[in-house]
Amino acid sequence: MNNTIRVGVVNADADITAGRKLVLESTGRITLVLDEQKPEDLLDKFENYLIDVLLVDQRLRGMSGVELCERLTKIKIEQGVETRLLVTAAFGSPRLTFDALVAGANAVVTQDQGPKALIETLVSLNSRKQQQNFEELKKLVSNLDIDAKEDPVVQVLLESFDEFEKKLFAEIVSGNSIASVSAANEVAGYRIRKIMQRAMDQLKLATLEQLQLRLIQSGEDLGKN
Amino acid sequence: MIKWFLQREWLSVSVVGTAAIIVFVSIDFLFQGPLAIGPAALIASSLFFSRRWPYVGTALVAAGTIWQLNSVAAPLVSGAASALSLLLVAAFASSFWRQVAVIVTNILGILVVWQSTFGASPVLREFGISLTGENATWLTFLLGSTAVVSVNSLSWILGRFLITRDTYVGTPLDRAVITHTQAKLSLDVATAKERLSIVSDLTDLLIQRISAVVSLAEGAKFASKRDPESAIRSLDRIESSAQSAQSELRKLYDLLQKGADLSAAPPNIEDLGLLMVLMRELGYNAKISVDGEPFAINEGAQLCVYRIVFEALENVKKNSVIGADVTVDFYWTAEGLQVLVKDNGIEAARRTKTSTVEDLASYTVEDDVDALVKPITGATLNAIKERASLYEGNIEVTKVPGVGFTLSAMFPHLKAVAGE
Repeated sequence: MNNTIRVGVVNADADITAGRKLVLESTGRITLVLDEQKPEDLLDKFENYLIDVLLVDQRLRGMSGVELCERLTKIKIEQGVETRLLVTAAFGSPRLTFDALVAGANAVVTQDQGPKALIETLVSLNSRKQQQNFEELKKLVSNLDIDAKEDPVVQVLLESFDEFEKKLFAEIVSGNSIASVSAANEVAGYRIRKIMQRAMDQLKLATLEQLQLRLIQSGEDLGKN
Repeated sequence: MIKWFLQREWLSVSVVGTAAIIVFVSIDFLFQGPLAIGPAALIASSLFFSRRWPYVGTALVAAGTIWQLNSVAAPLVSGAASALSLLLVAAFASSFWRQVAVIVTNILGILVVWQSTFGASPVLREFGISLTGENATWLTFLLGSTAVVSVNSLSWILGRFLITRDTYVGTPLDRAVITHTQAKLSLDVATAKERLSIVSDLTDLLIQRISAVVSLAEGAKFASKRDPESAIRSLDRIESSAQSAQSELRKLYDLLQKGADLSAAPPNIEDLGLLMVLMRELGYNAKISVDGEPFAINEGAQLCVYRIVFEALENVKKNSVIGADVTVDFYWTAEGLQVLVKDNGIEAARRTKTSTVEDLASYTVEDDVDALVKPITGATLNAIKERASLYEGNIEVTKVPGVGFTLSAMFPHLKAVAGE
């Protein structure tokens, strides 16, 4: 099995991309398979490239990185593309992190965090590890003073679960892995995956972070069973 | 009401004075008897004069009140006319007479209260009030005095308020100044906004360039371990990216410097026209004339000339009465410029005090000697002399006996020194 991570970069600046390429390819595990400067060109090619992680710079021509993530997420949901989206920026802020995660990005790395952080996050994303836990996301929402707002779609979803399903759903949303929830509750993993898939389809979401933020914003208390 | 006094000077004082005499004298005659007619008439008649001759109005109030103290020995209703007189003095008189009037009226008012409480005045007894002890008498005196001073002060303040409101608030001058300031501020804000937008764009580009430099440097560092050749190639790109960043930084610097110049755009000779309009609005007969063919001079020299004229006009405002003539004359020669700022402040001041033509034209030998031997000095004068010397110019200020002051600024080589 080939361990190479296939990476794409969309960045308006060729020099920044060149620098990133040197950093990433120096690891020997990462290959840059797609390099685009224009977001429109990337949207055309996105579903055809088997990219593991796509680095989306926040500063692009014609749209922001967050806007591009929104459009890519739609493609991901419609076409079942599993590419992980990593937003990069010169400077970070809680608002950027929030907006990027809501738009469907899996993580945000800023230049001041250094190249090591970029490589580590990229490798981590490739192995499907979640970058922010539920409590961190709650804190992020709280720091941004975003008020909870009733979300009827979330309410309908939660009402469609029986008590046991709701318990499994709550454990996954709070950051536990499917394997650990499956073992703890003596339930088959496919059943948990099915519950989560149902939730993602109903809410039209692509990432667990999106689901977590949606639940936090809805103010729903999943409770602890 | 103040407008009426301003526009119909004699009619207004005649109506108010006559009404005051009829009403106040009649009331005082009815309540105090024939002895009150004289003092009451004197106090009320002060209203005829307070508008034009405040010293006469104040003197009549004083004479009437002293007469009242000696003959009637009780407060008169005509005392209200002294408060009205004070209102007119406060509105129309000079600062000195305003102060004299308020002091005199208050002192006389307190004397009347003193006589009514400590004297043999029957007025309190007529109202069934009997001051039995010394404390009660002092207390009544203090309360009465406070009331008198309060009423007089209110009249004085009302007079000042009315004239200030009428002269300044909402007048064409006031509106012109506000409009001018507003227009200037709007332009400044628009310029600043525009500049800020450009700064924002340039900063964005700058961040991009610096990010590229950092990214390439990081890449070179990582790649050098595996392929030293690639590090050298990266250095070339870093150099080029850094140069690009420097170029953006230079643009930003230029823009900010330009911004500083724009925000402090110095006034020039053309702006003197506005200054003359302002002088006319303030009540001076200001005129500006240009003789000869003007030539272009640089901003610094224009500011210098503007500053000299500005300071000369400030001096006129400080030392000359309203109505004085001020002229600013520019004489352009082939190589230089002479600016003369003349006023007739002394003559105008004398005109307000004298009535005969002979008095107006006369001035003393001392005036003549002073004009010849007394040098005119001052910090402002020294400052503008220093400014003028930068452009090889010199400043002379002379006093014209019986007329006013003349400031002469000579720049014989202005074209060579500051021509454009």
